[in-house]
Amino acid sequence: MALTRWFNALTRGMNALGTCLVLFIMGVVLTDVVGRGLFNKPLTGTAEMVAMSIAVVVYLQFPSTLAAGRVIAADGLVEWLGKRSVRAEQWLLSVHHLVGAGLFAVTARYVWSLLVIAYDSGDYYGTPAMFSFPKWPIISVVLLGCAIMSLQYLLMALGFARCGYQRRRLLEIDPSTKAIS
Amino acid sequence: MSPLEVGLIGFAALTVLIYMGMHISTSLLLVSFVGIGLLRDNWALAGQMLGQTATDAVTEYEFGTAPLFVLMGFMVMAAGIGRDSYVVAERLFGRMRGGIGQATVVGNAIFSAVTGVSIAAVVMFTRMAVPEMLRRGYPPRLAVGVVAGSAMLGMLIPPSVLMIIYAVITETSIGDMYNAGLLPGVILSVAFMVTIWLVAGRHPGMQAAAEAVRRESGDLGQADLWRMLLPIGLLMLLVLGGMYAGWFTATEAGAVGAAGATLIALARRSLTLRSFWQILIDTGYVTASIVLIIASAAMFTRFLAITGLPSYMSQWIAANQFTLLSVMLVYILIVLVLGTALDSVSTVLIAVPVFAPVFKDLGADLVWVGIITMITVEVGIITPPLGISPFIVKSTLDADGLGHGITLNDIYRGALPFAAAALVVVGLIVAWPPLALWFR
Repeated sequence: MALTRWFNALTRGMNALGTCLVLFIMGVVLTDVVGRGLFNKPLTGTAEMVAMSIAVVVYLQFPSTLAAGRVIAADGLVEWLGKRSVRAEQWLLSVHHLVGAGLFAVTARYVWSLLVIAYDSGDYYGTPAMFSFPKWPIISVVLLGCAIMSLQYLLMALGFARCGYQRRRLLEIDPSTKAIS
Repeated sequence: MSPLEVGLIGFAALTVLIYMGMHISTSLLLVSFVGIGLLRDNWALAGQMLGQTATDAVTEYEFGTAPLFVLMGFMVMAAGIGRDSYVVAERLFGRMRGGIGQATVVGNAIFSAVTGVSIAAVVMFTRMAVPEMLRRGYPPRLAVGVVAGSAMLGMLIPPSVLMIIYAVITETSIGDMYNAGLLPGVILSVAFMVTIWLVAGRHPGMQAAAEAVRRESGDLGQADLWRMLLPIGLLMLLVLGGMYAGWFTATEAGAVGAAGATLIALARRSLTLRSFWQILIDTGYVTASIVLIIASAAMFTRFLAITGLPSYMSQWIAANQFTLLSVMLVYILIVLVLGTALDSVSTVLIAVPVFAPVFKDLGADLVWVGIITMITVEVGIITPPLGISPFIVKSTLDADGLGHGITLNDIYRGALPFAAAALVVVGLIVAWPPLALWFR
């Protein structure tokens, strides 16, 4: 239980950091637009900074998106099933999440290889003399994100399985928060 | 197994997994990973591609559009601009036949022009317009159908998150898609208004309602109207105008729009520190989900290319001398069928990776195909058995205690005329591509 608490605190912290980065992206692009438009001085490295931030936002936010049950999926069948049997619904979700856990474990394994390559080669984003940033810190965040995602998927798979056994739901989700159109 | 068979099985597996409700990103990654592993008999290679997808494929400047336009949408909502757009539309169009319905369509169109996600609009317009229409004696089916139907405008009128997804998987420019969506968006809105006008002609009760609106609408002064219209107009001018004039890329327009909407919300004192934080968190949720889907879709597209399925289809179509028109009709039919039981993102992700290369080989403009896709997909989401937008209308009505007597079936039926109108617009654009390519 203490472990789960620690884990939840970690994903919440990652979420908060990612949230700040959303503002950072807006700020960077805005600085570039205003600088270019009014003072004829664009911000160098805008494209790279935005691109790197996007990657970081995704991996910092995904674990909590998952925990909130807000990852985009077509849940027609799940809902149909849920009206007939809560147990079947929860167990189906458990299987889905188990697959996610496996997949992101494999992904983490290969991101690790990429991290080693990036660290050894000193590869970077951008062009030297203009703007450049080493790749390894970003790939580290990706690795961390994939590992945490795998763990989060696994925890939820277990949670769904247990709730299914007790014929109750792990999450109650407002459908309007899940779809985009 | 031949590569082609692996491709076909992979495609079928993806469809099944998505229907079963597995996360879309997981489904795409799983099928691509297993498919590439089988094809090349090299699991390390498949794993490397997974790693590449997780890192390089998400590191894209253009993906900045996703969080920025989503943030803008949430801010616009918090600032009360959604409500304003409806009030303004009612003031301008409420006196027409079927006035509240007309106002809902126009309000939705205006609101769509400043937000990228349309589900929020469904909830909002259900709360504002449905009770008012019921109070004025509109047939319940029409009242709910108008709201569910006009949600279709959201994904067609730029900015639109669904267009970002389409643009990235087909490697067209997001800006081109946004510019192209403008005119069809206006045409679709007009088609909806005509639909309401025709339906209202058969309900004499609605004539009386229009009279009542005419008497009551005196209480909204000119000054109020401008106070509401000005922020919306400025945002639209800045974002859509800026992109169309070529001042901004799509990402820049997103940043300017998000900042502008935040300023408006602050000026109106409608943001607390808490709600601001919640908006940022919600933005992060949508961004994480969407960007991972786009990156996974890129891997799936690569997997399909390795199997040779799209090029085989192209050759088969060329060998049989099928015309672009016949392929387009088949495509529209497939998208409609997929859309009946899937959400719009899933539909686009299943249909587009296979067909886009085929359309390209036939010499079609992928922006034109994209606009047709957007409208057709949206028709799918208001048709049974699993249209998401009627479902949201229903759950919102129930949550607010207004749902008495209105069934999901009523909403589907009410939305049917709008689905028909949208298909007419699709037909127009298929027949006359300049409608979609005018503003490019």
